[in-house]
Amino acid sequence: MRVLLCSVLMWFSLLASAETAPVSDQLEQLKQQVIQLNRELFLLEEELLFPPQTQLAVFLSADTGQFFQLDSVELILNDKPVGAHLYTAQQWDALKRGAIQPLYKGNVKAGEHNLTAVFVGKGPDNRDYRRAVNYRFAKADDAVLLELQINDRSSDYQPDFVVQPWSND
Amino acid sequence: MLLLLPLLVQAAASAQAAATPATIAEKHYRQAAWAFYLQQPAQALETLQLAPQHDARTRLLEAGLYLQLSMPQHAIALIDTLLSDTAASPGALPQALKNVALLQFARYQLEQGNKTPARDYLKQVQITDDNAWLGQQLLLEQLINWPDITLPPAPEFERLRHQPEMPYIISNQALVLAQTDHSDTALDWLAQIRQQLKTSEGQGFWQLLFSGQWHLLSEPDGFIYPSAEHEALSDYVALTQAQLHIQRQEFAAADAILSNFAADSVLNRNALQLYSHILTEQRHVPALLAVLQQQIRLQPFSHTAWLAATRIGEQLERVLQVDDALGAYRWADQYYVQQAQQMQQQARPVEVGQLQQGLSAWQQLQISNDSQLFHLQQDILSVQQHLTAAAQRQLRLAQLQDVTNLKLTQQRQLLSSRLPQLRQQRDALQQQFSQLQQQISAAEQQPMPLSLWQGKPYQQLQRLDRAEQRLAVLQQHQQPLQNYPQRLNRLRGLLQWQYSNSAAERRWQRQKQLQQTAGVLEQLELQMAALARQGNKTERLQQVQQRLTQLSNHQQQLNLALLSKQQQLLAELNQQLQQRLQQQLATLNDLQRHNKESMARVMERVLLSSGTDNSGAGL
Repeated sequence: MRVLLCSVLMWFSLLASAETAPVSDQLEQLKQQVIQLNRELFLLEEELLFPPQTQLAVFLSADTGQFFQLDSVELILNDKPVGAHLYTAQQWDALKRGAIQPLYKGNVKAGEHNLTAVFVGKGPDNRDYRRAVNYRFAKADDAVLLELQINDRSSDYQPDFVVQPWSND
Repeated sequence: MLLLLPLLVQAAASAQAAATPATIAEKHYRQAAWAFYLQQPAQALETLQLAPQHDARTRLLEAGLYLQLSMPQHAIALIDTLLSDTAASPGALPQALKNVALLQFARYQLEQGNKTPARDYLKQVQITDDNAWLGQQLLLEQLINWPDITLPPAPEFERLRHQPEMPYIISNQALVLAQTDHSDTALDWLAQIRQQLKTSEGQGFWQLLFSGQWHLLSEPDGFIYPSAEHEALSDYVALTQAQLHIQRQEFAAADAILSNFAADSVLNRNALQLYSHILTEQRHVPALLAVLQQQIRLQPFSHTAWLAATRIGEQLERVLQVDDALGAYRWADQYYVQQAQQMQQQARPVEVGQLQQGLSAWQQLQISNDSQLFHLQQDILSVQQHLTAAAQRQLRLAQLQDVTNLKLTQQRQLLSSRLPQLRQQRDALQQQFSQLQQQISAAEQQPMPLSLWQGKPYQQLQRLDRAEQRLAVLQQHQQPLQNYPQRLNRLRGLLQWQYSNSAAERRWQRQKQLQQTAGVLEQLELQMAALARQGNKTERLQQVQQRLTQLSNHQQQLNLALLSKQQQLLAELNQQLQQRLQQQLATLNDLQRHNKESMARVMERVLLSSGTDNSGAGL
């Protein structure tokens, strides 16, 4: 009841202060509040659902995509599939322009783990291309952040798939 | 239009190639780019704001995203801070990027009708040696200062060679020349523009960010449709030429341009209007009638179409086809009635759900043709997006509340039962350990303590002790002892020797075992401390629980505020649509009255002529 009363009072005070400003400014203030609310919610989600002690996050980035065009990627953690993504032309274009895709976020126990990423797409000469890359890591107290990188290897005109851990520094 | 994004991507690629460790801030920036490219500006902004560090470039991106989200005040505040940084200050924005921001904010201010701040932003632009953004700068200068624009002695094709805005700049100059009685020069310049037109290049990252042309992003092959833009530019120049020819009363020249004007051009309506003007002047009635019918067909609910309706009758009347004219006026009268009815039917109050797709043709037309109505529509839709997202947010909040409650329960269980139990077990172990230590140190004081023996020697010593005790009993009962005491003494001496011989090694092993046990107990202590720390999270979890409740309430308040604002905007939109309806009905009424007058006039002439014919026939 008390919360409801406070809410009603705050609501009226919000309205009262809002009435004095132009509508566009009021709308902008509301939008800013929504942004702040979203941000706080995200931080709380990180703290509660993915604490650093158990967090594993996987990202994906690409070079200019000269020797490989990504169709899909599958993630396998300790022999169990945990995620997969099919790429649209727009998404692949974003990656080629330097964007990093947040691909997977989950929780793992402390100890040794094995991550496998399977890349499927078109390789040089537009041929079907499938390549897997393995990465072993030890989970401790810090969050594990891994970036799957698709690089262009100009030495033999082939794509190169790398798992790069992020430093928290 | 700009090559800035490829440059940025190249920079990123080269950074990767050099294997320099990128900072987490850079990673956040690139994740924001992911959301940006997927047309999720709110998500991009959130990612960007979570970055641990912000530099000038990220703040510029943030400003652009604010503008995308129709939050100009925040964008302006950010950009003003960025612009106040001197070029010498570390991490200041490069001049090229500063120019992008200045030009786009100048444009934004101009679109809002604020010419003074637009001029102020524009003044700060310092074009770099490569002339990047020069075209944008000149075009904005023209728009802000129109019609007092700078006129060069000759068209600056060479200077503006790489500027996509070149046709607009020079055609604007030609228009001003024509207004100042230099229409020959103006036509000459326009003719030269058409020869100079080239296919334009794609838009750059920063320009897209600020201009908000999202739909162009969806094309995988590029940002814009160069051929379509090329066609539109060509048509624009042609139309300007035709306009100048009309001003100069050179109707044949204008006719030559307009009669070949592409029917699918985006400027088709303007072309039809000019063409109908020429045909009227030239009295090409059959062609004019066709054009007027086209206008009526293509532009419903427009003043042009309404005027065209009555003009058909006028043209027929002009060529003395009075019967046809009367028919045309009657048709126009019916047309006006129908238009008024349709408008009234289609002008029913708009609901939020209709704004995206369910608008009537009339409503859609009003909103497309009026920037104020368009902005109102966009504002209502953006609020709707927030309201739609609120349900998802509420779910996330509820999930977090569940998780917090579960964790709190686990915490309480840990604190109330598991932790005290474990502490008790640990205390008991430690007590036993210290007792054992005491026993060992007490036993070590004795010459040959039984407790420190083990294995076979322990059994032998135990047997010896028992034998000695039995011997003592025998002695008490005065039984013959023979040589047992000597033999037992010899055995004890032997065991004593064995004990002394292995004492050091056994002490070392004992100490080692004691140390190991102490280590295990220490480890247990650490684990207990870790658990206790976990137990300390209760307070934090309670804070989170409280905060989640606050956020949930805040979200409800926000929803109410957003809903109220949306209703307010919707009411304003409907009110303005009603105002436009009334204005248009009044205009239609005037035209209908005028048409009725014309109709009466023609009818009178028809009656008079038929009366004359009848009287003639009677005679």
